[in-house]
Amino acid sequence: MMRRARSLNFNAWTISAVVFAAGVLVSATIVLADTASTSVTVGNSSPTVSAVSMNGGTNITLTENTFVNATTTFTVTDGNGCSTISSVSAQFAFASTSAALYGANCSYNAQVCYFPTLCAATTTGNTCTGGSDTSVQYDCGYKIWYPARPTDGSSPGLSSAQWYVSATATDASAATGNATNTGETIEVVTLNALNVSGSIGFGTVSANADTGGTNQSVTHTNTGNTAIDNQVSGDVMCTDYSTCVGGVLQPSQQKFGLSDVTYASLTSTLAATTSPASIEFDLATSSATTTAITDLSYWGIAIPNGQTTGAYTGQNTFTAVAD
Amino acid sequence: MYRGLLFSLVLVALTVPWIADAGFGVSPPLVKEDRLVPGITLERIVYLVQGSPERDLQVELFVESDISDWIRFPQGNPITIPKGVQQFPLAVQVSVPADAQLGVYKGSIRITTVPEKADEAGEVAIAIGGLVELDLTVGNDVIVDLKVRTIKILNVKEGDDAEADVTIVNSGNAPAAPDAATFELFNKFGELRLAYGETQEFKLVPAFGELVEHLSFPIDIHLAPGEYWGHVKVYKDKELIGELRTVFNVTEKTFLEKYQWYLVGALGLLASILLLVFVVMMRRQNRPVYYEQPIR
Repeated sequence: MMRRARSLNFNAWTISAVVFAAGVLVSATIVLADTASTSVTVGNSSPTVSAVSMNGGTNITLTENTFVNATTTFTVTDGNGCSTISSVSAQFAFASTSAALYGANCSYNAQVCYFPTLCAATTTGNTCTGGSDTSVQYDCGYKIWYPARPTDGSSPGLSSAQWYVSATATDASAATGNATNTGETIEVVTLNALNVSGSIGFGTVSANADTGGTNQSVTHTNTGNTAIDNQVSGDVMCTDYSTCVGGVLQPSQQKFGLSDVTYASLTSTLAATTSPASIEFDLATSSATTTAITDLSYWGIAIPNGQTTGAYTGQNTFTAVAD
Repeated sequence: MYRGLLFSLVLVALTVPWIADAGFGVSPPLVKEDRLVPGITLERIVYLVQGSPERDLQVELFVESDISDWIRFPQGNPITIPKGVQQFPLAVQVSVPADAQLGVYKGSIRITTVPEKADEAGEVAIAIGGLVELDLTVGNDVIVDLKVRTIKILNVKEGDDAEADVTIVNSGNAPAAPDAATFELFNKFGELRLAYGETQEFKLVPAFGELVEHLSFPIDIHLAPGEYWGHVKVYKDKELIGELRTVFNVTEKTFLEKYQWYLVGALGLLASILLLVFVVMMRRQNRPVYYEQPIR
């Protein structure tokens, strides 16, 4: 019995040794497998655009007859790293109801569509440090010109509309991402503005006479973003303006009109400063910064009989009002 | 006869008239508010704009309305727009008397510029002006109308709470504030939510006013340095009034920022020890000295 038992034990040792050897063999195989090459293809991650903001979230107030600067900021994130972002673009467009009206590709139009003069990665905000850094902030600068369509509460009929920014980023694999500033409400504010050029110097006119067909002309230009008329009024003319204790000429001695005709045919009589009269100039908004919308007014004066001689001075005021 | 001839002569003007060329505008040309209540004060900014502000420009303001005594110009009247300023912010303050009748009040503010050659003899100077319409309704309803103008998720230091600046506009006629704001934290790819925080600590935004609220969101994880996505939502009366989802950075703290409290503790301990030593030394110095009396 004892021998059998020993024999069995011997067999167990043998089995253990075999198992151990097999294990070593397997281990050896695993070690060999560890040196096998592995490969993986890292796919491209499309860029994501977020935090799109125009003008710091504030409305845009224009300046007459020129442009104002405005800035769009947005953050671009790319899972492959921010250094893979190859280009960014943006547009600032008028939309009657939604951002989709002009899509992502409107054409430049001073009234409704703008593109940045420059887009650049920020140097002060979220910069791209390369490596595993995935995000970077961009700033895009615009020149917004005076004809840009108004959308605020004072705009004629467009107060439900607004302006949107659409920003697009493209990476090295030509994948793109796009977003708009839908969380913001950016309005272009109504601007009633007028430029007046010319002179009203009537020269020498005798008493009991008028300027006849020799009119003075004044050019009126709409330099805002709404159609306008003009309110026109004048002070008395006097030889010691503006104290006027000497001889005076009432504003009603001056007449004006939109046609270059004789004094008698000029259509409007100048109102006093205390009660300006609105005149239908119907100056439309300019459609382009290179196309001024202008109108001419023609001016004459009549001198009453018995008027004291002297050089009379006065002041006429032209005010832009909504058409 | 001679006298008649004298009076028949008349007007002399300059032979070379001065040519005016000036532009002026107002933006917006309307002050409209239909949420006024008796006793309230409203301030609006109207920009007086010039494309070519080549000289100081004096401007006179005239209120043409039955409610002219409600209107004030805190900057004074007349005002001078300095040379070079293309957009001058004119503050228009409307103070509705406490005993004002409910109703609609209209009028206008006439703005007149003083021309450069106003005193040129024999000339009619050309002045340009602007007109701002007033359209004010006084009622007695309390109206709450909050909007979020901007949200900015701020970069923070490691271990700090998430933070955001929120610009809130109150277009209502009573002070008001949002109810709550929430912050969701996501990993750098924006796909895995890591934490959530919320706050209900808001300052009241005055009627017709605007306020930038700095919000801090306590979150229950330690923010390690790196990039994260944050999603801020602002609520009023359980309605979402503003949200922003974007990436932000958590930066490493400097040695001083990281260990400032340990340093403060160590300095405090050191100061205590020094104080203790000082007290002990003082007590030793003040201890009465007993001189041994010689035995006689």
